[in-house]
Amino acid sequence: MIDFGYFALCLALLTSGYALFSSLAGGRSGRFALVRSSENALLATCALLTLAVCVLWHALLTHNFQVRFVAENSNLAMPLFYTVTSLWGGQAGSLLFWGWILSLYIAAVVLLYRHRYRELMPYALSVMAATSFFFCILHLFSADPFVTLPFKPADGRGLNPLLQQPLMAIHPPLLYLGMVGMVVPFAFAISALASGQLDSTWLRPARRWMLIPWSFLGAGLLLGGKWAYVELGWGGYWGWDPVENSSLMPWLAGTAFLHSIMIQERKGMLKVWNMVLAILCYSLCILGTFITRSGIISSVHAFAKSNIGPFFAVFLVVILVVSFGLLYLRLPHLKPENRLESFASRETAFLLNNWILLGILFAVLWGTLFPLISEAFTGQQITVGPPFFNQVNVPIGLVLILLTGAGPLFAWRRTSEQSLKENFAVPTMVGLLSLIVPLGLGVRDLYALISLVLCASAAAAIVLEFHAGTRARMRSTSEGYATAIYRLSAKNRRRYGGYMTHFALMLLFVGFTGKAFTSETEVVLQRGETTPIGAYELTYETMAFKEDANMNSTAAALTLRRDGQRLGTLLPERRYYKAFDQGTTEVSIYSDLREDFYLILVGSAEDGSAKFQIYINPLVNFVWLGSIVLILGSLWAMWPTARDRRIARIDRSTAPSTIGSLAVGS
Amino acid sequence: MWMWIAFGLLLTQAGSVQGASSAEIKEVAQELVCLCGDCARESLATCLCTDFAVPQREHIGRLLDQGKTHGEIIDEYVSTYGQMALAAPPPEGINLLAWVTPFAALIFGILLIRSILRNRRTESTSTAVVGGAQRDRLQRELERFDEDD
Repeated sequence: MIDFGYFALCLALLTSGYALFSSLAGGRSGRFALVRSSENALLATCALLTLAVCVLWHALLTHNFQVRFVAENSNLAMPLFYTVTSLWGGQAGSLLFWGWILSLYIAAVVLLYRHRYRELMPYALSVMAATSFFFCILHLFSADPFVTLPFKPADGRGLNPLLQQPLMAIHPPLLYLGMVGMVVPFAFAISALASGQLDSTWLRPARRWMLIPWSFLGAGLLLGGKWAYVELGWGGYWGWDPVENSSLMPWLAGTAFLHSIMIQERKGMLKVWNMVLAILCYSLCILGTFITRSGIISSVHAFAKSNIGPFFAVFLVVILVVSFGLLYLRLPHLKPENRLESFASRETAFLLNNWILLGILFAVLWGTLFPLISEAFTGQQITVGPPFFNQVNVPIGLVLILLTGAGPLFAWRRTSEQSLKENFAVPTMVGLLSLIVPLGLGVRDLYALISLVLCASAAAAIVLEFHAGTRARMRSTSEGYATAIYRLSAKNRRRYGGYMTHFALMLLFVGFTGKAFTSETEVVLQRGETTPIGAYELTYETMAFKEDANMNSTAAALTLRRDGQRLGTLLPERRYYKAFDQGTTEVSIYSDLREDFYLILVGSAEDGSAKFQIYINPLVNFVWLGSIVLILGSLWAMWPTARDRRIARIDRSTAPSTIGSLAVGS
Repeated sequence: MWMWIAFGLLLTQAGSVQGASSAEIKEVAQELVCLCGDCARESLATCLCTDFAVPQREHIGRLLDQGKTHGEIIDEYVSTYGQMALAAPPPEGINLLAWVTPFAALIFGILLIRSILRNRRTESTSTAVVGGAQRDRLQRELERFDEDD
């Protein structure tokens, strides 16, 4: 059975290699049959990798510990759910999963664009086939998931206990869907350069296929934050860890791309810049993978150290050389078609948006790589941790909120002074009025005050934008408010989906601001003892021990009261996973919109006392609320429009037999 | 397991911190990282490693009780463990680059944008036939026709 998997990988290497060759030849000669054959080969690659993934899943589910990957990442005691998710719990499996997702993306592009973008498709296929080929090489020669042991162990080691958490089961696939998918916009950018189709045609598929992985990446980042918050037990959701940074950077570049292509679509400007951003997005994904997998920078996300680093380093260099080489050759053909008309315009706002996003990106990249730079010069190891990233990024982040709020208030081309005054009046007023609340609550932190004012103004501007559009629509139609706001947003999904994500960003920033007011206490309590913590009262009731085959656990039960009212029972827990000789912290959280009461069991003593750590995290739920709005906004923006559906219908009706000659090169 | 929890605890009882509040301890600890070797140098303020972070936080508390200042404690850590113990590089020598470069890049970026805007604008010949307010209204009307694509 396992041999099937290995054999499928070998065949996938051949089919993807053939697809690369035939698409290049098809692109050069313009022979459609070659391109079609390459598409079919890529569909075959997808089928083969699907087979390989199924074989590995089968091995996991049947506990075939003869397979090294299965023995190292699963065991008999693990629940079924985690046995399934352990596919991406270890190096080889997660890379296979990665390669599989890649092939699914490629198959989707191939099937969707059978009759569209025919000039761009050949070289776009080449880029995607090359990536797929690269991953097949990795599967076979560096991280083979089907390596078998000389004997069959009675039981496996199991999945890392930190990963035995529902959020952690979905977080990696989402990140992979994000990182992998960025190959598609990159492929279309490179294809535009290679084929010389340098008008804005490539932007349409690139935008759609950027929006999808960008949304997944955003969702993955936020779920990762949620996981860290409930699982790692340090009261926070973002630690500026190199691996977190690695997935944040492509997201920032993608955000910049989604904004700046609008200038090219409307004005034919920034052509070179958009190419650079598309290349940057994908290179950052590969760089991120390199940082994560090579272990050159220490991180909580320690994957097993392996020889995989150099593969990614070489791949990254190839990508950079080829892309920037092509871009350089095409520079003379990438002249802007228009000039900027006014400083006070949406175009300038977008330029500034790109400036600040890239500024944050650079600060994150710089901080992530700086330990290497410093060590090269001084020979001394240093740590670049959260204090660095927070101090550098908080002021830049404030400018980002300002621009998010102000940008949409500028009109394209130019904005008159009067309409600027009109547009800014209400948001500014709302912002200033909103000062009353934090000032009344005794907040004196300057950054926090600025942040809250900016968030309130920007949110007000967005609400106004929806309101004004709805009112205008109501005047020209006879719709009620609800219908009008729905139709308005549905008719221009891109714009209003965008506004929703802006609104989400404001919610996120309110949540981030709350971090400035986190308070933290450590207490030792005897059973039955009560202690006041802020406005709360905490009573330590009892302790329970539990043991099963997988782990043993110590859980404390505490009662939480506020103003004499019982809020509930908290059950913080520490677990010890035997197979890994590793402890985990299961925090217990009492949560409302205002703040979280975050309780950790640190340890217990023989005299029955126990030590607890408590964080009061104000506004943290705004982060999760913002996450949900962000996902909804992105979904709104990428939902197919009536026009998309029309095109798809035409495509289907005019399609000749799409399953023509199945020319697969193996 | 019991050893492990008891260990963390024995240290708790050995020399308990008297005066220093956990907030004061955290203020010092957040400038340092955990060096237990198992975790990835997490913040000493939040790490839960019972063999390094938890006892070290108590150590900091005792030092504060002895009247040591914030700076003295940090210096003590640096002399014991090297600069690796710091959560962020000190802004001196080559490490000053860490702090300055991001802002330098931002300034460079804004200058670049400014020069692009300048060039583009001087080259463009404004042929405004309609006045600002009119043109603005026209613009708004046009925007309404923007279709999603």
